[in-house]
Amino acid sequence: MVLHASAVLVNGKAVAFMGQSGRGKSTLAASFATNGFPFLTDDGLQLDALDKQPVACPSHASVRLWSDSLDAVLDPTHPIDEAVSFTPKNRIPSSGSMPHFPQAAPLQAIYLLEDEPCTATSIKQLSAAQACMAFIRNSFLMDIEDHQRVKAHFDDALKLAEKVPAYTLNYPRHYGSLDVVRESILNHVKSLP
Amino acid sequence: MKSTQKFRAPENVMSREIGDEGVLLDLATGTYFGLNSVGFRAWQLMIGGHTFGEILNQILSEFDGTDTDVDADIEELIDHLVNAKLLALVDEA
Repeated sequence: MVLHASAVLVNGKAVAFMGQSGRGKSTLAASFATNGFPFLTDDGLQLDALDKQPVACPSHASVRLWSDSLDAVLDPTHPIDEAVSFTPKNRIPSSGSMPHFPQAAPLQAIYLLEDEPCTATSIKQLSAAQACMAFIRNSFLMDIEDHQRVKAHFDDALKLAEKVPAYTLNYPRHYGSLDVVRESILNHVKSLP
Repeated sequence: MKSTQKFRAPENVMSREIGDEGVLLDLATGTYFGLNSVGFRAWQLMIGGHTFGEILNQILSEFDGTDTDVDADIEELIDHLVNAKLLALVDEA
């Protein structure tokens, strides 16, 4: 199963940020990675072992950021790769200051990024059914005509919802708040069983 | 709605229970629909061959609510599901 999500490593486990394009997945991944929490992926997050303990798999060792996010999160001297045809975003390779974690890690929590106006970070747990539907909405499924595949995809979303807690995450959308947002998320992760 | 009305799930609709809630999926269209605990229990009774009247009585016995509220809520649920082609009314003989 592949979620539309970024993921970072916190205390040996993966934490995912899931949501539609433009919701801040890559910016959060870069913000965490430049502050001691390496990223596994900045966009497509492949999950394995859904029948046992779901694990997050690493992807390409680069993060794609719009210029304003890049300016907010990264040092101006950080190298930027050549642009690629399929995205107008800047492609930033991993480095010592923005490390990539190249191994699979147990998935501890999934945060669904929302975009409601707010003045403080808000994190609320989704019910398993709500989480299941959020996973369906925010995952890649190539052929909806293939009913067997759709059925398997539905069952995968259910397994994930039964095994990994999911939360909505809403936060103030200005770059000056990123450090506070990151700390709020880290405090929440630390409170998880 | 008549108390004798029965229902059936279209062949292409899957349902799964998760926690005390449920999710329905129409394989033909990819449409999915979440049900809370009351809604999913009502769904189970609908596809289990019970009439509308039996469903109302069972829901009232298992959950809090007045006759009027439960009637209105279950009818609204049925409307949503039928419009989304996740449920069909069985023609009475």
